[in-house]
Amino acid sequence: MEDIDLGKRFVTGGEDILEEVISLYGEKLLRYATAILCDYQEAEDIVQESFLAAYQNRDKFDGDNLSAWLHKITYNRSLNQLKRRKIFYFSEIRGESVLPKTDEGLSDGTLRALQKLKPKERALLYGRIMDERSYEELSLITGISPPTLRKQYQRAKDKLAKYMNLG
Amino acid sequence: MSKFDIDEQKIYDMFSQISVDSSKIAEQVKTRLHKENTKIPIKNHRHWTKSAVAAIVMSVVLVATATATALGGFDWFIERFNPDFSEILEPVENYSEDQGIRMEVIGAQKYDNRAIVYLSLQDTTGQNRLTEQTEFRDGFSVKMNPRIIGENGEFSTSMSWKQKIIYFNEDTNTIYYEFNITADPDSPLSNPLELGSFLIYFDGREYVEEPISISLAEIKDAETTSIKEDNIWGGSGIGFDDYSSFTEVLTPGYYIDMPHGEKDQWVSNAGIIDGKLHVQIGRFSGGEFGSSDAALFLMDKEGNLISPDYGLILYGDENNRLLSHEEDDPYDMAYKYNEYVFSVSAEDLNKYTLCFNGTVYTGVEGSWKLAANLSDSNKNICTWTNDISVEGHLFENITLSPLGVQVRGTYEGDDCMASHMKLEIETVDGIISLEGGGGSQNPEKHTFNSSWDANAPLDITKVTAIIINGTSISIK
Repeated sequence: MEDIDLGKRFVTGGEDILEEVISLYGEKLLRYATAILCDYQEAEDIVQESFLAAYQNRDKFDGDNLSAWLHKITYNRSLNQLKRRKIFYFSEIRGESVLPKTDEGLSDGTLRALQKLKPKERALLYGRIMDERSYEELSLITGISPPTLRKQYQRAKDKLAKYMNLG
Repeated sequence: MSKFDIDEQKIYDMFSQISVDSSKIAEQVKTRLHKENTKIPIKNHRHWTKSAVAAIVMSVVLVATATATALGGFDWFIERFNPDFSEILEPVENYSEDQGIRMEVIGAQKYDNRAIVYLSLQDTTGQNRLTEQTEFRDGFSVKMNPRIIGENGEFSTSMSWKQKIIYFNEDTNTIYYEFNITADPDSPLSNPLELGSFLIYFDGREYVEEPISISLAEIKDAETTSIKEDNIWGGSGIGFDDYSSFTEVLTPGYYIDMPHGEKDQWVSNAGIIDGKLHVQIGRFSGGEFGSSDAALFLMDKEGNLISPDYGLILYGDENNRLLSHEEDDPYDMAYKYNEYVFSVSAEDLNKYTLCFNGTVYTGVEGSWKLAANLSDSNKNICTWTNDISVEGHLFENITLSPLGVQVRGTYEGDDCMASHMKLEIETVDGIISLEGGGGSQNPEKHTFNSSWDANAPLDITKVTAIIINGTSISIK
C-alpha cells in the first residue's frame, strides 16, 4: 500500500527515498511499460529513464499522487520510444513470419494480440484492468478527458477481445 | 462476484502473463544517476540541442505551409523537404495513374540492396479521398531478383522498409512520403528500380456507441437454424470446449441496414431464443476494404453498457447455408455472421438501445507501377567482411553507403538483438549516430540482416570506423 507521505518525502528526499520509490513502483512500471511497448528490453530502459527523470525533476512534482506522476512519465516516454522505433517489416514470400521483435515477457499469442492494438489502447486497458484506475486518474496520466477515455476503453476492450477470441 | 466481465477477465489473464524482474532497477537507476551527475555540462548541451532541433523543425513546417500552393517537381520538393539529400538523389518525376490516384516517384537513389525513395500520391478526381492516414496496404512492392537457393530451386526473398509522411497538402490532396528500403542480400533490388502498389488505404471511419434503429421491445421469437459444433468458426466470451452445447442460431437473412449505410454489412436477424436476446450481423466475407466486424452491446438510459454474454462466428455460402469446418473450403464463404447473445429479461428490452462499435475502412484497389532509371551508384559503397562479435552477434558482412549501414550476420541464443544495437559512425569530422532501420531474421538458421539509416548522406571516404554498442570496427 502506498505511503501517503511518500510523494512529499520524494520531493525533498535523497537516494534512499528514490530506492524506496523504486521498490514500490519498479515492478508496476515495468509491467506497464512492457504492456505498452510489447518489448521487455525497451521497457526496462524506459522505466530506468523514467525513475531517473522523476528524481531529477522532483522539485516540479506537487507531492500528490506519486503513482499517477510516475505512470505519466513512463507513458510519455514509452510513446516517444515508439515514435522513434516506427519500423515496418515485410514478411518473407515463403510465408515465414518475420516478427519485429521477440520478447521474453510475453507469449507469442499474447504478443500478437497486443500488437494489433494501438499503444495508447494498450496503456488504457492496462490502467483500467490491471491498475484499476479511475478515468479521472487515467486522465491525469494521459491528458485525455475522462468521457473520451471511457469511449476509448470500450472500443479497445472490444478490439482486443475480438483478437484474442477470434484469432 | 467478479469485478470483471468475461472479456475483461481474459484481458486481465493476458496481461498477467507479463513476467518481469524488477530486482535490479534500483541499482541500474543509481548507476545511471551517478553517471549523469558526472556529465552535467553534456546534459545541458543536450538540452540546448533539443531546443535548437525543435526550432529548425518548426521553421521547416512553416516554410512548407507557406509554399503549399506553389507545388513543383523534384527541385521544389528536395529544396523544401530534404536538402541534405539533394546531392545524392536523382530526379525521377515519373508517374502512374489508376482509379483516379496518381502515384509519382519524385526522386530516388539506390545503393546495392538499399534505396531511398521520395514518392507522392494525389487524388486527381477532386474527391479528396486521401487523408493523413493514407498508406500502402500490403500491396506496396519493390521488384527484387531472388537468387535460387537450395537443391529444389527454392527461393527466399524479403525486404523491409521504413515509411514516413513528409507532408500532406490538403489543397491538392497530395501526400508526400519518404521510403527507406532494405532488401535481403539474396534478392537484390531490380535495375531499374521498379515500384508498385495494388492497394491504397484511405482511412477508417469509426463508429463508437452508435445506436442501431431496432425497437428491441418489438422483437419476438425468431426463426432459427440448427447447427453443429462444426458450423462454429469461432466465438467470444466462450471456450472452444463449449461449442458442442450450441444447437441453434438465428436463420441468416436480411433484417435491417446498419447505421453507417454501407451495403456490405447488415443486421441479418434478431430474436428471442430461450429467453435471451440474439442479434446477428452479416457481412460479405473477405475483401480488402469495407466494414469491420461490429461489436454489439446494449446501452441503458443512464448510458451504462451491457456486453453480450457470448458471440458466435458462422460463415454462409451464397444461399445462406451455414458452412462446416470439415466439408467446406474457406474460399467458398460468401458471408460472415456474428451472432451475439444477451441475458436480459424480455420484459425489460424496452429499457435498452442496441448499439455497435465498428469501423468502415476505405481504400482502392488498382495497379500502379513505376520504374526509376538510376545511374550506377555502386562505386560509392564500401563492402567488407569481418568476424567481429558483439554481445553474441557476429557481424560478418558489412556494407556502408551514403544511406547508412547494412549488416548480415549470425547470432547465438534465442533472440536476435542486432536491430536494437546502437550504431555509430566514426568519421574524420566526428561521430555520427545512425537510426535503427529495417531488418529481417531467420530464427532457424540464426541469421540476421539489419540496417541503420543516416539522417544525412554519409561521405564514406571520411568514415574511419563503425561502432556497434561501443565495439569499434575500424575501416582500413
